[in-house]
Amino acid sequence: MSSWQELTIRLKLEIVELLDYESRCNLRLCSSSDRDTVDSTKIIGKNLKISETTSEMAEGKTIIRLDIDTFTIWFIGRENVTRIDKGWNGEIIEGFSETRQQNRYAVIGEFMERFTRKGFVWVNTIGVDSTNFPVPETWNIKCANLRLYNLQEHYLGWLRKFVTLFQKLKKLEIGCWGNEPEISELLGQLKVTKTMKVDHDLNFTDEQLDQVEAMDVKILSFNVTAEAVKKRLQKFLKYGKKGDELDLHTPSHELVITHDQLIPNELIVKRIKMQNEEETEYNGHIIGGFENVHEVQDRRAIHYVNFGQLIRIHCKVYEKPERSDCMMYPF
Amino acid sequence: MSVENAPVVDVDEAAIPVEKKMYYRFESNDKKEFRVSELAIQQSETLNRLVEAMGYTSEDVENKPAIAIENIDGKTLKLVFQWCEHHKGEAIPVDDGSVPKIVEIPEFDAKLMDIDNGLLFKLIWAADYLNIVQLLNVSCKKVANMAQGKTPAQLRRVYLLPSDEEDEAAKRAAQEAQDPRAREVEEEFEERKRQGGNSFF
Repeated sequence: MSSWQELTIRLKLEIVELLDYESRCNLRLCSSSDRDTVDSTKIIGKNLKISETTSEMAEGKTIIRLDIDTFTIWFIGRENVTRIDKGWNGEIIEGFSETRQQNRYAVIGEFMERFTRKGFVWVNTIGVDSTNFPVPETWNIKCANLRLYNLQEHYLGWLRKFVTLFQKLKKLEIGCWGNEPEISELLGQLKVTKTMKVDHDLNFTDEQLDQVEAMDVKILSFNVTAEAVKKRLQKFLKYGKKGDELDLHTPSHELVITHDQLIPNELIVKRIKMQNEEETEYNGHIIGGFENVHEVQDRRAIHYVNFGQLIRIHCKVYEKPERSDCMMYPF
Repeated sequence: MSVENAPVVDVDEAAIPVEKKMYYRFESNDKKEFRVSELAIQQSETLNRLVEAMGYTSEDVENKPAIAIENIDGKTLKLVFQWCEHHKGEAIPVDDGSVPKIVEIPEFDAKLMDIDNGLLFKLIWAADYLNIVQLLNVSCKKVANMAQGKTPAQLRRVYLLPSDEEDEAAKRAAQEAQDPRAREVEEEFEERKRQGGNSFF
């Protein structure tokens, strides 16, 4: 059993499922038996990214870009005319382009169906960026990581779709604005295990904040108390891994005047005065008073800043700044 | 309280339960012996079930012959047990199909699998045979990573993939090896066809 050829079909399928899209296509060309192996496994792309940009050449014309790992398809058009270009590593392959008398949103749906197996498109990470169209009903996607950016009025629709498709995620990153109460409800239903970074107000209560399993977080909520922030910081110090960051935004409660009320007493914190630090800021290094289950022994840098209505508390493993030989501004 | 004033209690040392780690002995097909901890064995469903069924005591482990694993050689088995010892006590991943499987290769595993392709394929086979889920995942991922950015021709070299023609030739050779008379019959049949015979028989 010392070559690909000698592996059982089941083991070959295990490997093929872990290949990126380009490698799958290339393996498929090696022989008829490899083609059959590839065709009988579901495509699990590492990254599926859908983005849309408006063309400056003609009104109503947009370019939808669909990336599956290193393979890209561009759908360019307006109304019922769509030009389709394909390419590897962002470069168009000449001779593979075509024009169809069909709306680009319908065409992209057809292409997505090609990547479907057992009714689902399987990808590790899906990113939807600046799209101007609502999520098609027929799109069923299974993924572990979800990124939504700048979706404007369709944000709630995309989110609703994804929450109905899966309740558990490893990473969730959202860079959209939305103040509908349903958004917080939907996000509260998701179980996120590793990273949860959301740019808008989540309206999480103390209990909801405590239930967030992910340790690498960026959460903004006007409903949490100083006690909940303290508890979260303790939890972060205990369970956070080396690359994790805690970034909490909470309202400036009347009683909270200084950073002391957000930093637990048992922690040993060394004040580090930074250059150009303002009165409303506090910088320090947590050098003791906590245990970490992952045995991350490094000191943690903590930064507190009061913006008036809002307080930000940020904590991560301290990284020594790299010294540069160059003389940078100001001289 | 000073040491002198401390109350003296007689302790029966024999009565204190001593938790003893049990190390099982395994033998590869080239007669190399390995001692593996009970906790490390739990990473392998096959071996775990086997030792449970055997119900060995610590004396049995020492006195009885080592458990033979006849399908795996010493070099591969050494890698397998090194991996099991390093990951002992870790939860075994369950793939329920709800989310796509994401496999990341930790630093230790990457170093362990810095081996030639032949041994890597043997490791995959051994991980599958011994049902070590995470080792199978990382070793398959390593093989999958080897394909990244390769053209079909390069893939053929990396994975030693035969083309369709080579595949056919290998199949014919295997058939002939199984039945040496087959080729003679085939040649005879071809000869008769050339002579214009309608029936072979």
